[in-house]
Amino acid sequence: MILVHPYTYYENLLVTGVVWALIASFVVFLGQLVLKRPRLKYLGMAGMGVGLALTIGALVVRTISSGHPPLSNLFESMVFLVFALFVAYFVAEILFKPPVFGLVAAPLIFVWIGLASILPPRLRAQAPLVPALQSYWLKIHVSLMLLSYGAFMISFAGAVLYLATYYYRERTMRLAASTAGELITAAAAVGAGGGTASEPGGASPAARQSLDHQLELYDELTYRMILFGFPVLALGIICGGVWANHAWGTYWSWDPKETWALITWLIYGAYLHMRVTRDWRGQKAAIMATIGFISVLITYLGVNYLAQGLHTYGSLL
Amino acid sequence: MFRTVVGMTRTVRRRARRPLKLAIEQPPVEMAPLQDRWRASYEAAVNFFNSVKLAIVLILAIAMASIVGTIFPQGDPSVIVNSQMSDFAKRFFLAIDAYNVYYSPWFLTLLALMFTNLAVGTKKRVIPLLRGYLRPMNEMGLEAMQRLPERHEIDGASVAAAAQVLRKHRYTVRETPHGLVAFKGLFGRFAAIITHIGLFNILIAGLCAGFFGFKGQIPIFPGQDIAIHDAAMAAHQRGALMVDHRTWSVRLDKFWIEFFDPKHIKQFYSTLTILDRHQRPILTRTIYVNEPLLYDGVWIYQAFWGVGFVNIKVGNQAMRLEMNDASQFNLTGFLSKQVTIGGKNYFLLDDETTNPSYPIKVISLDTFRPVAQLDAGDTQVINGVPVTYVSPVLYSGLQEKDDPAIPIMFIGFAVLILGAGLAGFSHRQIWLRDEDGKVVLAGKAHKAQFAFSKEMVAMATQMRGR
Repeated sequence: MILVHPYTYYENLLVTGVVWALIASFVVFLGQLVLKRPRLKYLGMAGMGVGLALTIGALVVRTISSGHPPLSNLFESMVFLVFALFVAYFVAEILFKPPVFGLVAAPLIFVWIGLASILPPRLRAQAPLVPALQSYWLKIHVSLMLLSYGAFMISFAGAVLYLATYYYRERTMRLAASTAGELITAAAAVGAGGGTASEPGGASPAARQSLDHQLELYDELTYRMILFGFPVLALGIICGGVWANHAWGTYWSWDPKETWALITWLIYGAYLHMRVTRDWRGQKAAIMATIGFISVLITYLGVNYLAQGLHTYGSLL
Repeated sequence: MFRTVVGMTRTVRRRARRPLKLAIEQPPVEMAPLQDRWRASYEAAVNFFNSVKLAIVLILAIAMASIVGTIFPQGDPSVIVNSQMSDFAKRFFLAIDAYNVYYSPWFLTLLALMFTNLAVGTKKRVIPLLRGYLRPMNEMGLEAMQRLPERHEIDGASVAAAAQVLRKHRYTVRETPHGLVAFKGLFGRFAAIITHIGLFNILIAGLCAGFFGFKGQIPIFPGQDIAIHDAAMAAHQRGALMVDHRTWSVRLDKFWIEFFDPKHIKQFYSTLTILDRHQRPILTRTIYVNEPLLYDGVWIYQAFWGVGFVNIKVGNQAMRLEMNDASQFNLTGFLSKQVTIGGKNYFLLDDETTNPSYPIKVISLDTFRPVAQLDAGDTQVINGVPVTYVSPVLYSGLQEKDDPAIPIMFIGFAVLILGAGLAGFSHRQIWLRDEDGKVVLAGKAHKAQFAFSKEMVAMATQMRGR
């Protein structure tokens, strides 16, 4: 028997509202890029703010109607993840002021709230908490994990922008070199960060300098997000272990979900070590951040396909 | 003994220098002394392990090895043996212990390599680096300051005013002959080493847990009591060294389940009594999930449950049929062995484990189709014989555990979190030099260069303003 609560109507309204807010924001950000109107960015951010408010509303409605924190099934955790993504997005925007971040962040968040809204009733329905979840640890462990996933996903957006800028810069450099026929001049100009060489077509030194600046900015954005997510993920995994010890007597049982959370942690650990290594910074580190994002996806969604172990709360099969 | 070896090799070297007088001329054989070769190998090994790139490779290797363990169900080789893979694939995966990755020799070797890499790297790089940072900062010459990433000229500013600005930004400022030096966030440098110490701690605690403790799962029926010593002996983990000396036992008085509604279980409860060696009760407590019992260093958890028996009456004959876990036959719930009713063979299956009436299906062994479903208390006629389902007999599943390494493990967790949390702090160092009116403010940051740039610009503007 699936409980259809009267609050579901309001919940649906709020979730749909978030979806439309994201679509509108994306259109505005697209306009900012295509029409070259930097002021539109603030309108886009306002749209994202509306999305954040509606997401909080959906979480509140869910909490009131189910009587427990909105963290016990796939729908609830996904909406919470969307909340974490919005928060991470705003932190990134305010700290770094990246030029076109919303263009990548809005579709990313849209995917998650869209997925949440089309989940089958089995994964969305409010159900009383099973005995294992009846603990204050639920709020702590699950919210920490989802917060870290939010940070990592925003860092992925940063890494994507980094790689896009990187390959765009490579392409414009190559274009400039082929037109001018002097690779050395182009390389020297880039190395000096805006020298006096002038090439027809391709990137002017000023544009290239701003590209370098953008690269640094996205790199730092990715780095700082991962630097935040890493200890939060560690704390989340550890809280999961402490809770498991209290509930089952085992703090670690190599359960697929636990193991994949650890794998994600290791991959981001490798990323952090790469930033300390001279040759492996920059592009290689951004690729590692992307691999980390794939690992987050597998940890959050993929293991539910395996349908074994202690974490089968959101089995998609 | 060592001196003898050294003396012997000195003799070898002396003999080599004086050529042997033989009929045939032979060139002298020069061999490096043994301990020099050992030292060379040792140094080569240290150089190999002293590498951050190796750390990255090993971290990723352990990640990939862990992935293997999530693809294959762990603990049971039969899943691989009974799978549809080719013979070669099966033999390959069994050989690499794909069903028991996390305790396999190669995984443990990877872990050992990673921790060796960590230890060597810490000793050779981190400790000297940290010692350097703990020493007081020296002032720099103007040429050296030109090579710092952040440089601002703030001619006309006074050193005292600059110091004030820096202190407002929470820098520790020290005046020097030609200006000042300032720093903040020094503890950010210690983030990595503290995190690594936490990791070591966790590793050691994990090893201790494997050796000094026991963990076992015990199904127990109401009225039954189990001596904890027997449970510990039966649950011996791989390499458990400690023999359990405890003489008490645990008895299940009552087990029951509370429901929210017929489809949702609210909670499992077991009332347990601890008995001493003379069967005298020591204490009684009701445990439920997330509320275990701790007695004499042993934790007892409400871990699982099951239908152990069903009491049925076939005609006039009362029977007590044992029920077993049906997952071995890819079914959910519990099923019984064969029972003959009216000449035909059936077995009983309870696959609605959240139903408080524990209904059983009577399934024909000829057709594998259910012929009847009985709730507790029902009577139905099957093959002309009245069958009454009297009651189910449930058992409670207890997890008993003693893990003396837990405090160590939890300390390791705390240290790891502390270290990882400190990683956000960037160690920022600033030099200010006043040379005949030319005032240069320069600095570098260990992390978060962007934020440091912004801070430097803000501070330089403030300093110029005064």
